[in-house]
Amino acid sequence: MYRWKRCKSSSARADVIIEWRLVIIDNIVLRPMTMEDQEMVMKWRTLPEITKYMNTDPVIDMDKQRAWFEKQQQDSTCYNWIIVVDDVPVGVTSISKIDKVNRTCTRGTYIAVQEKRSFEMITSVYASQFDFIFDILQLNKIEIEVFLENKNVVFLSKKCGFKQEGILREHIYKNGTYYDIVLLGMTAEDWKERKKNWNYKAVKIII
Amino acid sequence: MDRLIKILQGINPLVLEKKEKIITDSVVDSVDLVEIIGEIEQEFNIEIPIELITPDNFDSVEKMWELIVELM
Repeated sequence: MYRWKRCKSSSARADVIIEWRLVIIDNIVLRPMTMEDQEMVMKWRTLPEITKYMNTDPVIDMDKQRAWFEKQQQDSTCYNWIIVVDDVPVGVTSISKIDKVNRTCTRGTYIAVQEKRSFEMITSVYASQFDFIFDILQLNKIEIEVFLENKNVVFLSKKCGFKQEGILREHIYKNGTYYDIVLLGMTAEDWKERKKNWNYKAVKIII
Repeated sequence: MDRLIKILQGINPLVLEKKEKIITDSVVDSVDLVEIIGEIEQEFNIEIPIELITPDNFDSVEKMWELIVELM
């Protein structure tokens, strides 16, 4: 199902492109985040439409941003990618808290460049990442926490196969308001079932 | 069909001006599309599987209606 290619990459890990032998969307690639991306990532992360449904509204400068990325690079339990569409960086997608004992992880995505946002793009990125998590990393479960108010992401996550496992009431306090968080989980078996009739197009993932 | 038109009017009235290629020509973005699907499911008490969320089924009001009727 997968084909591996050696490529030049600034990632700390092996230089590999994973290509699915499915229909591939040629113009979308997930490439490893680099130190050179940090100014752009910092700007994206502090956009109001991005921070709205994040747990924190960070006040960051380049020193803090670089320090965060340096820590990420040393952390073997995470992957951070820049989503590139038509050779334009448009967002970030990550896997983190990889737990090899319990075979779980969490994940997140944001698309900062709104004009490049499309249903097909987002769902292809999601689906390809799920394949990576379950088939390449051999994990068993993805767990995510989503603001209850972020109805679109809750809805889309459930469409992709996530199941609601609970609600953490008044779990996040931001700007004088408490927010409920929805706990969603998807097992390898959930994904296997979900993707049965779904002819999603895969994206290239570079690690 | 009136109920569908009311949903579309509330989310993105441009959908009703452009007769076709609503998805293909990005008249609706992914946020609008997810909202449209959510409202359709609630209004018509149906579930739209993700594999049916394609331009073929959502590129015009008529195509959306055909899908709704098929799933009802």
